[in-house]
Amino acid sequence: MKKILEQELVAGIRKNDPAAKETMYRMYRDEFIGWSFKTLNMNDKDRALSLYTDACVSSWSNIVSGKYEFRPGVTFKTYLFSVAANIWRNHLRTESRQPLKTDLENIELPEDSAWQAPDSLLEPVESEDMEEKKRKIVRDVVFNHMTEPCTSIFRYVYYEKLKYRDIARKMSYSTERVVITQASRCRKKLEVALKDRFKESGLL
Amino acid sequence: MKECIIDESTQKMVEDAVREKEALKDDFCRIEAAIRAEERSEAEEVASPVDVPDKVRNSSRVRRMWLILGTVAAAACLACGIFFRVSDVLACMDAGFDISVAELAMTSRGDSHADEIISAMEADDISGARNLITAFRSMPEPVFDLSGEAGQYRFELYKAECQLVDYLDAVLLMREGRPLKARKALRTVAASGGYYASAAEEVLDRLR
Repeated sequence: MKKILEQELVAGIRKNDPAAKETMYRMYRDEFIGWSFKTLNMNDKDRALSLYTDACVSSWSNIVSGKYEFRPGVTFKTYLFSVAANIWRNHLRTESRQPLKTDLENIELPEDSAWQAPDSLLEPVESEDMEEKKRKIVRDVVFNHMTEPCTSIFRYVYYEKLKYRDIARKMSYSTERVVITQASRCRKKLEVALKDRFKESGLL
Repeated sequence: MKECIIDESTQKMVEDAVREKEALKDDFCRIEAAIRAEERSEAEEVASPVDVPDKVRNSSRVRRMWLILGTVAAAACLACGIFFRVSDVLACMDAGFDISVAELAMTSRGDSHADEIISAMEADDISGARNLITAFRSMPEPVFDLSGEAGQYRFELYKAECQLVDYLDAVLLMREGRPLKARKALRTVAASGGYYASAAEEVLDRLR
C-alpha cells in the first residue's frame, strides 16, 4: 500500500503537482525529525527541519529532472533520508567539524537497502542536446553541490536581488567588501564544479 | 588565456537554477509554517477546548469578575452576618438571664409544673427546664367542669399556668441563645393578651 502511494507521489512530483509538494513534505516530516535526532545526532528540531527542507528541495529537483527512478525494494523515504544524510555530511565537511558519535560513512538509513548517493544516478542521456545537458548539470550543481555560505549568497544575489550592503547586514559581515570577496569565491567554486562535471560529460 | 566556463548562457542557467531552487525552498518553508500554525492552534485548542469569540470571551471575563466580586461580597456579608448573629445571640442571652424568673413563681399558684420549670431555670438547668416544658406540652389537656365555680377556677389556673409556661419557654429560648425562636415565642405571648403580654412586649422592645 505504501509503495503504491509513494509511486503516486513520485508521479505527482514528476508532473510538478503543487499538492504532491505538500504531501511529500508532510509524509516523512515527523519521522525524519526522530531519525535525524537518533542517527545524525541532531538535537535541534529547527535544524533538523532545515535539513529536511533542503533534502526535499534536492529530492524534488532530482525527481523532476529525471535523476530519480523508482526502484523496487527501495522506498522513496530511504532515498529522501539518504539525500539528507549526504547534505549533512557535506555540511559537516564544509564546517570542518568532525561528528562526535556519528560515523558518517555508515549512516543507518531507515530501510535495509541504502540508496546510493544521488550523484551516482546521473547518467548521460544520448539523445539530449548539449544545451539541455549543460542545463541539467548546472541545475544539479546548484541544487546539490553548493554549500554555505554560497547557497545564501546566491539566494540573496540571484533570487532576492539584494544589494551587497544588505547582504552584508543579513549575513553579519562587517562590510560589503566581504560579501563581494565571498561571492567571488563562490562563483569560483561553482566554476570549478561545473568544469569537472562538463568534462565528465564530454562537454569540454 | 584562462577559459571561462561560466559564459553568458551558463550564467543565465545558474541564475535560473538558483531561482528555481530558492522558490522551491520557499514553498517548503511555507508548508512548514502552515504545519507549525496547525500545531500551535491544536495546542491552543487543548489549552482551551472551546474556541470562543473575543466578544464572548470578554463578556465571560466580565462575568468571571462579577462572580469574584459577588463571592467577595457574599463572604463579607457572611462575616458581617456571623458577627451580627453572634452579637444578637449574646444580647438575647443577656436579656434572658436578666429576667428574674423567681418573681414569676409568685404569680403561679404553687405546686404547678411552672414552678418546677422555674426552679430548674433558677438552678441554670437549661436542659432540665426544656425537658419539663416539653413534658408539659405533651401532657393531654385536662377536662374541666366549667358548669361550677370550682371547675372554672381550675380552668383559669390551668390557663394562667399555660400562659406562664409559654412565657417561660420564651425566656428559656432567650437563655438558650435562640433569638429568632425567642422573638417568635414572645410575639405569640404578647399577641395572646394574657397575663404576661406586657412583659413579653417589654422584652421584645429590649431585643429590637
